[in-house]
Amino acid sequence: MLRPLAHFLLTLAGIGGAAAGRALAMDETETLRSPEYSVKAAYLYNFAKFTEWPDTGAESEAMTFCIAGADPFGDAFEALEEKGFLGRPVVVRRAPPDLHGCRVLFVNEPDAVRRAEILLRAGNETILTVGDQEGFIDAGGMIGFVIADDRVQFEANQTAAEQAGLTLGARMLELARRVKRQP
Amino acid sequence: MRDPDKITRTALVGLLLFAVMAKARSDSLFDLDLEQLGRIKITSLSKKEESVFDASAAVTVVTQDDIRRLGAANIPEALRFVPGLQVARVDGNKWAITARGFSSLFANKLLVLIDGRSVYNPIFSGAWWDAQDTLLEDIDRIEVIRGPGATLWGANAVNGIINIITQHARDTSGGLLSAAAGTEERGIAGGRYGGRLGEEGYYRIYGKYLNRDDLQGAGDETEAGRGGFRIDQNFGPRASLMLQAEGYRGSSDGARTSIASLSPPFNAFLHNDMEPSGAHLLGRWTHRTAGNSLAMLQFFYDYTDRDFQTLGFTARSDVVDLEAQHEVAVGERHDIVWGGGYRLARSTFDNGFPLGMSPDERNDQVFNLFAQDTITLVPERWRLTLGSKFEHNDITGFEVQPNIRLAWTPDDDHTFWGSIGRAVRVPGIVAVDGLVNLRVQPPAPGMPLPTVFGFRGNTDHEAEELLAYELGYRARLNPRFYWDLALFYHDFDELQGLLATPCGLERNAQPPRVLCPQIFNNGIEGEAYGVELSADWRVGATWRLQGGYTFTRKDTRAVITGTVVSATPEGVDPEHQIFLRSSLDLPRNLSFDMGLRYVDDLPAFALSSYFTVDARLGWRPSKQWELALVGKNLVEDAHPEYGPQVFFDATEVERSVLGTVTLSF
Repeated sequence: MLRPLAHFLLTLAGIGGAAAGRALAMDETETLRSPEYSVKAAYLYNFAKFTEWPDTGAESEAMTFCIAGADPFGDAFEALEEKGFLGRPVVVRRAPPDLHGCRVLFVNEPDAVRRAEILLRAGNETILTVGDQEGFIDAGGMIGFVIADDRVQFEANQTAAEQAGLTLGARMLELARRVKRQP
Repeated sequence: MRDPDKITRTALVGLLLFAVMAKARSDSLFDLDLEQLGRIKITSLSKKEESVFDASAAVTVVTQDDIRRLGAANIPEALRFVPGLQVARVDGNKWAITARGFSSLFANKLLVLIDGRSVYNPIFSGAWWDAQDTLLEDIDRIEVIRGPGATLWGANAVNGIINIITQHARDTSGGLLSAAAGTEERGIAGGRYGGRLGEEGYYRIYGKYLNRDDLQGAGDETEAGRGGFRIDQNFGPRASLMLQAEGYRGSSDGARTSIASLSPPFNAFLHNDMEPSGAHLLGRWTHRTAGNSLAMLQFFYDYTDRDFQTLGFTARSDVVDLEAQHEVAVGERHDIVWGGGYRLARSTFDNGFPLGMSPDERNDQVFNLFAQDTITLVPERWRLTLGSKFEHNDITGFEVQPNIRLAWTPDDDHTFWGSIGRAVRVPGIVAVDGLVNLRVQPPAPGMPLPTVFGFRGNTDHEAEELLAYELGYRARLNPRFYWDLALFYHDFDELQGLLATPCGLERNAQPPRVLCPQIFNNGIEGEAYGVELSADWRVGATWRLQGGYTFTRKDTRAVITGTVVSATPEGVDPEHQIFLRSSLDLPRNLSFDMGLRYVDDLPAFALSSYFTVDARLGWRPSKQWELALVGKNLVEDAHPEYGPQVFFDATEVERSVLGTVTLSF
């Protein structure tokens, strides 16, 4: 009984050493952000990647993510701000007074009337609107997050995007749980 | 373990791991694509994960990711690193799996469910693990609950429940092909295709074939094929229907063992081969009402057939099961779940010698009603759960299985819980009607008839009774470190034993013979107690360590003089078990996993303790492909994990290597 136990402990010591080394070397950027919104932030980045904007001239500019309503992301965007967007700088604007310059607008507004107001304002720009509340795409939003089976999923309103001059990538339409198209 | 080189080798493995660790770097969610993001489970708001942390029971969840990263080739291998479980391989296709002791090939105190369908075999009382399989990639998770769960799950959920849950068809859209081959697995091939079914439905169809080599040339080869489908159909946002069906057929050969017969040579040394086959159909209707209540109606039909070719015996059972359940919140403080069920099991047997049943067919009905209330005494702090199952079965009659649980969550990071519960195990049909013949003494001068030694069933068999006391504590020291402790004391009464009775002419037996029977009774009582400790440490974004220690001790004694404890012998469970698992994500889409296990000796079989290492190197060159190299039991050429069982000899588990390829499209 002792030999196998000795082997176990020896291997354990090896791994323990590795663990200690790794823990010391670990950079402590980990924070208490909510993982749900880390996933959603990564989604926003992907939506921006798979969407085509009509104004190709703006490609040299910063990729601007705007957040309307309370900001649930914590510092989930920090890594993206460092990483950049396909070689372009990334700017995150929280509760922007006007939407000019926003490329992607995340709408976190529980009140349906105020949500409609925000969408109305966004309609004047070529902005990809992404909503956190249920039924967002039925109220004229372009992409709505839904939680299903503890996973973050999304639905898309292709017509709303087209009306704003945006083209949602085929990959997005394929993976959306529901794609709304008006005849 | 006699080779001192192995110590060096083991240490080298540790050092290698150290070197590999140093190269690990953190990965970012922003590097994932849309499809991968859609598969991530969100942790903070997940009810399931929270419920595990807050649960007032000893619960462990094995996820799809765990199964993949363990390099598990079958369900028992996926259970190897669950704290509190005893998993021992008996031969190439048989396993002895239990929780909290009483291990056996026929481990009868552990209930096993697949998608809500009980696969606990009521004839032999226990799960035949060679028949419990599916495409492992389609498993969502395996929930393992240690301790009694009879209030919700009913009889036989005595020492624990293993709940295998497959993925929603929505999550398995597209195609998947997987193949594996190695030194032990000659070949495993699986395929699945899934997609949408109209506006609100999803489906998948799948098939799997496996062919496994014998262990150490013992002749315990395995072959099995299965196919099935699952449909998940929504009817609006509130109602859904799940429908699944599967069929399988296999051959599970056994090593040579002594098999009794009535003609010369009377006890022959034969391979004990079996052919299991079966099929099931399951439907579940779920309806969520506006008042946040959930109604569930489930039906299944399950057919199993096990042909014991060498024993000349076949057991068939048809089970029809209907269950209804309603969960409803009453006021602010009460979460009530209540329901009932009915089961009809028809068993038919082709009898032979040395195994038979009398009568050779029977119908068994089970009715049950249950209710459980989870009362919030202090919101987010104190929860009290009270409930009971009232069950009637045709073998032991009326059984009451109540449970009380209390959970205290002083803050979000600590949970204390305690529980007292009663559960029963209904004897298997073998112990009621069985004619089990183990050995024949040939006729001799002065005794012209053969003398048969064996077990006989007892129609007055009572249920085994458990009163369980449990305490638990879970703590999250920080978002990356979590540990879990459970203590249990299980007090058993009316445990199954065997009582030797005088020899005599066996009635109604042809050809005539003398029988020296041991008759099943309830002549044993005893206690089991233990400690289950586990920890989960996410060292960094790319490295996770999990470890566990399990201590189990059991004491049994005869209360009816002369009763042999052989149905529940001591020394069949390891007293100490330790495991450590390391999961590491490496650059270039590589992953490296290791599993270390120490299992204590088993005095009943004179088996010494063993220590072994499994390892897996995985590589995803693209989203579609995954390649992996898996090594199992790397420390020794071969070692035994378990001892001989009634009718089946045990073989030694070999060191093995397995290569796997998975293509998703």
